Amino acid sequence: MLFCSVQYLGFFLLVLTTYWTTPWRAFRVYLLLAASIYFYASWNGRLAALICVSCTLDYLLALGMDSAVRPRVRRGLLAVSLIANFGLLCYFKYVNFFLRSLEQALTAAGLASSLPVLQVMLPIGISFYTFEAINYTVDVYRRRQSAERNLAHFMFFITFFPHLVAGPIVRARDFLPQIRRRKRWSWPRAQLGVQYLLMGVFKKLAIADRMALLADPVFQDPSAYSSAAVRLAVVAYALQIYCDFSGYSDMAVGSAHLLGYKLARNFDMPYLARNVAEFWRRWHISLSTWLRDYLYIPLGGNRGGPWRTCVNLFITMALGGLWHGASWTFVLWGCLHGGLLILHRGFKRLTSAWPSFHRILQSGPGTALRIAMTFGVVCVCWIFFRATTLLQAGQMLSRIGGHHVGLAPPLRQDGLLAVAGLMVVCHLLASSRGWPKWIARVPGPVLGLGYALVATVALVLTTDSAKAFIYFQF
Amino acid sequence: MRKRQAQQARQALLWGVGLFVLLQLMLAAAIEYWLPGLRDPDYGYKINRLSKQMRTAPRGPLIVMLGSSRTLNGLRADDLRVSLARQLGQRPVVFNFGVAGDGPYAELVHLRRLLGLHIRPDVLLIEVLPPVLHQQYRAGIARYPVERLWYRDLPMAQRYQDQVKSLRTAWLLSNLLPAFAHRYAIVSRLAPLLLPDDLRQDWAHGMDPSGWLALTGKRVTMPAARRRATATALEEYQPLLQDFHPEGPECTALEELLETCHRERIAAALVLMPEGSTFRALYSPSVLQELNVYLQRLEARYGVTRIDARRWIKDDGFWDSHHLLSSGATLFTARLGKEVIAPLLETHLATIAH
Repeated sequence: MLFCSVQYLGFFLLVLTTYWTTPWRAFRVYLLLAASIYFYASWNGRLAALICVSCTLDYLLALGMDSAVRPRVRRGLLAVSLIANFGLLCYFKYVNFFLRSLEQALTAAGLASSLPVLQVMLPIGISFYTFEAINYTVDVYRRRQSAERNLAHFMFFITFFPHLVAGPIVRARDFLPQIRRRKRWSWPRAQLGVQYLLMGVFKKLAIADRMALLADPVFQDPSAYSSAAVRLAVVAYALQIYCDFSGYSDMAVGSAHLLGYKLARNFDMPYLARNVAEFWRRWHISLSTWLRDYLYIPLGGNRGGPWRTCVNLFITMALGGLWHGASWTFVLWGCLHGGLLILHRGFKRLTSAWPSFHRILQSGPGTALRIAMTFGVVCVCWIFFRATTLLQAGQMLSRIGGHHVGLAPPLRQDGLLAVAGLMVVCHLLASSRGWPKWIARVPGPVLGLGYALVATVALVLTTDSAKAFIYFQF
Repeated sequence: MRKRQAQQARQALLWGVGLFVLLQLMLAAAIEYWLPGLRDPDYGYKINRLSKQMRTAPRGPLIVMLGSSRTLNGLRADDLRVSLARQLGQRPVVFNFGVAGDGPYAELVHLRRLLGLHIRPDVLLIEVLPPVLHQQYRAGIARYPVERLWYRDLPMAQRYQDQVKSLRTAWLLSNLLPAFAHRYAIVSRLAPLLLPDDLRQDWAHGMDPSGWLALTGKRVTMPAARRRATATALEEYQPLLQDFHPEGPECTALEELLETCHRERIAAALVLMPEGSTFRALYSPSVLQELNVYLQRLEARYGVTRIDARRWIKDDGFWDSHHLLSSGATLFTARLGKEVIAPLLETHLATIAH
C-alpha cells in the first residue's frame, strides 16, 4: 500500500475517522496498532508475524534489563537483543551478499567454490524497525529509558504505520510518552499535518517521479548517452532521491500529526549545506543521529585523538552505506562520504589558522561557492548510490568528465532547470524568517485555495501512479 | 491568538477540501463541453482545425478523410480546395482527419462525434489498413481507454469493450479526478518541456490548417534511418498478415461505420492507401484473396466505392514503405482528388439536387 495510492487514502481516512470519533484512549491505541499491523500485512502477512515476534522478544528483554540488577545479566540481555536484531537484518538483507562476496574472494584467491544462493524475501522496513528496536534496548540498558510495561504500546511504537516502512527512525524516548498523552482534535495540528502531506505528495508525484524519467534511462545504459545527458541525469537523480525520500518523510510526519503524534523532522534542506558535515546534519537526520549515538560514539567518537576519530568516522559511514543496501556500491558510497568528512575535518583545522581565508569562506559569495561545491560532490557520490554495479558507476563517471556524443537526455534540459528553479525558490521561501508570519496572516479561505491548487497541480504532474518509494528497498 | 489560529486552520482545511472538489468539477465540465483537446488530444486538434476551416466556407460541401497516420501524412487536403473549387464552382472544405494509430473503431468514434456536433460530411473517405482487420487485432480499441471517451460515446464503446459492466463505472471514476485522468494532455498543452517525447500528446500541433502533418526533419533524407523505419514497420505488421482472416472487432466497427454513412446518406469510399513494394510483399496471394472478398462484400452491401491506391506511388515517395513523404503525398492527393473525390462529389451533389 503506497502512500500515494487510492488504497492508502481510503485506509487512512477510515482510520482517521474512526480514531477521532472514538472517545476511549486505550481503544485508540489498539485501533492504531491493528491498523499498523494490517498496513504491514498488506505487503506480506507472514512478515507481519515476524515483526510481531521480534517486538515481543525485545519487549521481554527490555523488561528483563529493567528489573535485573547485575550488570552481567543486563549486558547479556542486551547482547541477546543486539544479536537477534542484527541477526534478522543480516540474514534477510545481507546473507546472499556475504555469500556472493565470499565466493568472489575465494575465486580470486584461486580456490574454486560454489556457495548456495538462499531464497530470502526482504521484509519491508526491516532496516528501520530493527534500528528502532536497538535504540530502545540500548537506551533501556543505559538507563536513559525505562522499559515499556505495556506490550501493545511497545508494538505500537515499532509498527506505527506512518514510519514503519521507510522511517523516520523514531526514538523510543520521544515516542512512547506520546502514547500516554491525552489527544484532542486540534485544527492547527490537523492543518500542519495536511500541509506536510501535501508537500510530500507534491515532492513525490510532481518532482521525484518526473526526475526519474530523466535519470532512470541514463543510469540503465550510460554508454548510449552523451556527456551532457549523463551530467543532467546525475543532477536529476539528486533531485529525485531528495524529493522521493523527503516526500515520503513529509507524508509520514503529516499522517502522524493528523493522528496526534509528532515524528521528528528527517530533512532540513540538505542541498543548502555548506559542507559535507552539515549535509549529514540535514540529510536523513534520524539515521545520521542514530549512527552518531549508537555507533560513532560507542566506537569512541572524537575522544581518541584525530587518527582514531577519522577511523571511527570512516567505519560509521561505511556501515551507514552498507545499511542502505547489500551491494559494494553502497559501501563505496558510504566510504566516500566517510573520506569527505575526514577531509572536511582536516580542512577546517587548517583554515582555522587563517582568519582572513575563513572570513572569505563565510562571506556571501564564499557561502554560495561552498554550497555549490558541496552539492556537486554529493551528486558525484550519488552515482555510486544509484548505480547497480561498480562498472555502471565507472561508466557514468567517465561519461561525465568527457565530451562524449550519444543520445540526448530523455527529458529536455529546460524541464530539469524549471524543476530545480522551483525547488530553489521553495527552499528560499521556507528558510526565510518572514514566511511563517506571512502564512499566519493569510485568510483561511485563501490558504485553502492554495492547498487545493497544490493538490491539483500534484495530480496533473503525476507521471506514473505506481512508482514505489526509493527507500522502500532499504 | 489560539482561537484565531484554530479558526484559520479550520477554514483553510474546509475551504481546501471544498475548493479541491470544485476545481475537479469545473475541470470535468470544461473538458466535457469546451476543451475536447484535453480529453482526446488527437481529436481535439482535429476538430478545432476542422471548425476553423468550416467557418471559412460555411455553405460549401464538406469532404473528410478518416484514417491512420498513413492518411495523416498522405492527404494534402489544402491542395484540393483550389482544384475542386475550380471544378465544381463552389468552395469545398476538404479535411484530413487522419490520426496516428487509428483503425475502423477510432474512425467510427470520430464520425459519431462529428455527427453529434451536426457536422455531416458530404463525402467521407475511409482509409482501410488491411492488417488491422486481422481477427485478433485489439490494439485499436485499447488505444481508446475510457478517459478518452465522452459520456455519449459509452453506448457504442460498450459494444466493443470486453468488460462491459465496468465501463460506466470506470468512466465515472476517471471523471472524479480529471486532473489526474487527463494529466498528460494538460501538461502537453501547458508545459510540454516537463514531459519526455514519448509521453507528450501535442504531436499534432504541427499539422497544417487542413489536418495534414508532413513528415519532416533531417532523418527523412537519411537512407539508414529510412531502412530502420521500414524494418520497424515490417516487424509491426508482418505478424498480422499471417493467418489473416478479416473478422473481429475492427471489421465490426468498419461495417458499423459504413452502415452509419448509409443511414446518414453520406457518400462513402473505402481507400486502400499507397504502399511501397517492400510493404506490398507482405501480402501473400491468399491474404489478398481474403481481403478482396471481404471488401467486395462491403461494396455490395453498403454501396460504397473501393479505391485501391496501393500501387499509385513509387518507392521513393515513402518514408518507411507505407507512410508518404511530402512528394508522395502531393502526387497521391492530386490523383485522389481528380479520380475519386471530384466524381464522388459531383454525383453526390447531383443526387441531392435531384
